[in-house]
This record gives sequence, structure tokens and C-alpha cells, in this order.
Amino acid sequence: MSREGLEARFALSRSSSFNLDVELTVPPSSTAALLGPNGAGKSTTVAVLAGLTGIDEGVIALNGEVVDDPTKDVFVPARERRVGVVFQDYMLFPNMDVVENVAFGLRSRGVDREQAVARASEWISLLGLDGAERKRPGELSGGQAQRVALARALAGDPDLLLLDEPLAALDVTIRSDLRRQLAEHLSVFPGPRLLITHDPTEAFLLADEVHIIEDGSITQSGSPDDIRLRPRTRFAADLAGANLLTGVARDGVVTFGEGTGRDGILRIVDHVLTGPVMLTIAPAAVSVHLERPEGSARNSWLTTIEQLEPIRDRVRIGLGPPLAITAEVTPEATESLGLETGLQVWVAVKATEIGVEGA
Amino acid sequence: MSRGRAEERAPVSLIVLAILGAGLFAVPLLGLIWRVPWRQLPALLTDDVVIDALGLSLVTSLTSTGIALLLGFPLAWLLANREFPGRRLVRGLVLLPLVLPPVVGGAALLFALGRRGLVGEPLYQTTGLVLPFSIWGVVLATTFVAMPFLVITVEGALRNLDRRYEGAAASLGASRWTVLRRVTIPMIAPSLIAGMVLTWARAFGEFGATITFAGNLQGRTQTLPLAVFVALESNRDLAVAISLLMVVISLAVLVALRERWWKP
Repeated sequence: MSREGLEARFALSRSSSFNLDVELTVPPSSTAALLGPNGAGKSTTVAVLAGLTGIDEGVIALNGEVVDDPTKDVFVPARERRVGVVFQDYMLFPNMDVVENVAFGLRSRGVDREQAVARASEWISLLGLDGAERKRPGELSGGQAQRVALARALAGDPDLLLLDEPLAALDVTIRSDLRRQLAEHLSVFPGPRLLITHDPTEAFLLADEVHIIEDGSITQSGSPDDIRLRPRTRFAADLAGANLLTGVARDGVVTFGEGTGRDGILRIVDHVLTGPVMLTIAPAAVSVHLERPEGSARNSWLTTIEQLEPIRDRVRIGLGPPLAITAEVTPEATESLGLETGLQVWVAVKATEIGVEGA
Repeated sequence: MSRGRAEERAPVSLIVLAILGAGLFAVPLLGLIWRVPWRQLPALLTDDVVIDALGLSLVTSLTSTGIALLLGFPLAWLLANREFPGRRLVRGLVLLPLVLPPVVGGAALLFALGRRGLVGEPLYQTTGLVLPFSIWGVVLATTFVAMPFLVITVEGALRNLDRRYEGAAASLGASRWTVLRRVTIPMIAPSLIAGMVLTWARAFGEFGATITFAGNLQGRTQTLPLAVFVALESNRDLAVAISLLMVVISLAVLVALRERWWKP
């Protein structure tokens, strides 16, 4: 019953107040994201899967081979486990140059120097790092350091690739570019890939399946669309449920759905940005009215309620064309406004509430 | 420098006290240089007493540094990385020679390792080895006094090292020995070198424990500091010449390593 990819189901307690209980499967050639706030257990999960920490209960298997199972006294330590890790802050060895960093794993596993350097050089040029071979980590840009970390993790031909917040150390202005590059680079690795992140945009754009982790447990798993449209927890609704829209910006106006005849537009604060953009709008920032709203909200339009779904203390409202976005209102407001599926309503979003990023 | 203008001027009283402090270091040095008999210097420095003491001092201080590295590094590593019963006690013991008067240290060594000592007596009876009043006695006394510098410097560096680098190395398949050799030691190298220099300097200048445990025999246990002490009673010019020699050697080591390792 050898199965490909990563299969992990484990529990461990760090203290009386923190217990981690995780179940994850990642098939080969796919990327899963573990998305959660700080302190949710993401770092511990990295340590567990990498073999730096043992588990209390459960089984972890890589390509069908059990690497951790306390009941059978099996524990394959990090140095014998074939897991490539891109660590948070990359952890490139400062005393070695780029080639030595990338070749480190091969050298450690007994490959002779010449061959290790040759294979490291292949990875270095595959990831577009030509010319940086003899640089020390301190001389690299954030993006280069990330690619060196990726090359170092992949050079050992691992059975699993773990990426721990691979974009968090980068400057915000270059993050979206590098996220796209990372997506390309990830596809070179044929095994299972697990991305650990606190950033929903990253998770949704890079992963095939997203697992939400909160307080040490996975609270929801599903495709990015699944989670975005049907968040099951407060956190998922707040972060994962944010409206993501892609359009084209020009002179402070973003146009969507070109060619559909009925274009939606949104005004944004940034008047300089031109070209494809990605907008994020928190559902709570979208207000719903029966009459045309007055005041500072310059983005308002008439639409239809397509879906109403109560989640804990809020109601999520799925809105129809011209812009399919989600709003969140209180149950009281839903009642007093008499909101229901099929009702025509006015929707408003302040330009200052719209997050804009070049796409 | 634009920053200079933004900085407030330091209080005058502070400057005066700081100058006094610097003077405390500078004046004795000037006093020594002022007393140097430059004409006779070549003759004085080629005196048998000086040649013997110089050779002995270099050999024993370097051997001490080597032993301190061999024994002190593992001690520092364990203190920094592992919880074990009595760790606080061990750390206290390591620090003890720093605060203990060296003469007391020498006396303690004598009671422990002298021919009638706790360990020395069985050692003599089984192997015939006598540590006091031998070159090994000098090495032992200087190591006892100087090794704490290596242990505390290295322990501090290991504690400050980001453990995640070692995790990264392990995940890349490195054995514990490879991690130590290729990651840990290179990353703490500046502190390791600094600790070794401090250890060497302390061993090179050691007096109290050496004279108590190893005695003062020219050519066998008389190191440079001991030779200065003897010469002060009999031949002041010789004492000044040896002192100058020690100042020059110590400064040379300090300056040479500062260039390479102690970049601010």
C-alpha cells in the first residue's frame, strides 16, 4: 500500500495550553498551503515534518514510507529524512558562498566535491542565479536569497518540499513579482509541496489546496475557491474570505470584466498605478443599502443579493453582477433592512478600504 | 559628518573623568618606556635568563591555549546546549578562577596535584609523574587561570547563535559532526578566536598560580613575568627590558588580530 506524496496525521503537546493536532495529505506535483495566524502551530508543523521534532501520536509517511510513528518507535531524524526546507528568513549559511550553500546537502550526503558543485551549478542556473555563484548570502537581494534557499532545498532531490513563509522576508513592493516567479519555480519540483504562510493571497495564488490552521488544529481544508466562498470560521471569513479581484488600473480607476459588455469599475486611491492589478476588499468594508448611499463612498452600484449565509455573529452576503463580491453585515442589519436572496440593493465601498497590488 | 552636529556635546565632568581613566592606562606604559635603557637593550634581551624565559613563556602559553580549546570548547558547548544536573554548579566552577586570587589557585593546585596531594600522590605512586616544579606544572597553572576566558566567550557565542542554522544543516543531511565543523564553528569563529586570544594573553602574563605551583626555576619554570619579578630585586634594567618585550608581544598579537577578527 505504498502511496505517493505526504500523508501526515499527528498530535503533540508543547505545553498544557498548546496542543497541535494536524491531518494533511499532499499528493505529488501539487501545492498545499497551511494558512493560519502567528502562534497557530505552523512553525511546529514545519519542525515536525522536517524531522526536527518528534510527535506524540500519529503517523507521518512520505511516499508510503513511515518516517515518524511513536507506537512503532519509528523516527527518521532530519538528517536522514528527504525533506527540502526553505526556511523562514532562508537561513543561508553566511560563511559559505552561493555554490557552497546549494552544494551543502549533496556534500553532506557523501557526493564528491566536483559532482556536488556541478549539480549545484545546474540548480543555480535553473533558478536564474547565474553570476551570483561566488557571492555570500549577505551580498544577495531578498529575491536572490529566496531562490538560493529554494535551490539548496531542491538540490538534494527531496521527497517533500516545505516552504516556511518564503515571501515574508521580502519587501512588499517586490512581493507580487516574486510570488509569480515562485509559482513557476515550484512547478519544477515533481513531488508534494507544502507552503506555510499567514498571507491568504499567497496561499490562494500558489496552492491547489488550502488548509486553515487555528490554535493548533486544522479548521477547514479545501480548494482556494471553496474557502473563499464558503469560509467556515471567523478567521477564514476575515482573512481567507477577503474579496480578491483582478482588473486593470488607470488614473485611479480599475476596470473589470472587459468585453462582457457590462464592465464593473472601482475607484482606488492610487492614481499612479497603471496596468493589471489585484484588489483586496474585506467583506466587512462592503456596505449594503436599500437607497442610493450618500457621502464619501464614491464606489456604489446597484446589484442583487445572490446568497445569504449566517456565520457565527455575522451574515455573509454574496452579491451578483457587475462585481461578484462578498459583503458582511450584522444579523440585526439583515433583519432591519429585510435583506433576502433576490433583493435589489445598493452596495458601497470606500476607496480607502481597497487594498491594491500590482499583479 | 552630518551626524556630529546632531549629537549633543558630552558633559565636561564626564570628559575629565574619561581622560583620567585613559591616563590610568597610558601613564604606566609611558613610565616604562621612559625607563628603557635603549643602548643596552640588545645585550639585555639576549641574556640567557631572557631567552630561557621567553621560550618557556611562548611554549607554555600556547600549550595552555591549545588545552583550553580542547577541553573548554566541549565544556562551553554542553553548558550552552544541554540541560544537565549541576549545570549551575559547573558554570560557577568555571568562573571561579576568574575571581580567585591566583596564589590561592596555585596553592589549591599544590594540595590537589602536589606529590603529597589528593590526586598527586596516587599519580606519583603509579606513574612517577611529578607535576609541580615542572614545565607541566606551569602549563597546568596557566590553563587553570586562563581557560575560563575561552569557556565564557564560546558559551556566549553559542547561546547567541541562531539554532535554526543547525536545523537547516540537519535537514540537508548533515551529521552532527558536519554541522559542528561546517556551520557552528565557522559561525562563531570570531568569538572563538577572541576567546583564544584572551586565554593566551592571560596565560602569557600569569604569575601567581605559576610561582606557587611550579616555582621559579630558570630554564624550567621561570616564565617572563617571573623573570621580571626576580630582576626587579637585582637588575632593574633587565626588568624593564623584559617588561618592554612582553608589552610589544602582547600589543602585536592584539593589533594583528584586531585587523582580522575584531572589526567594529
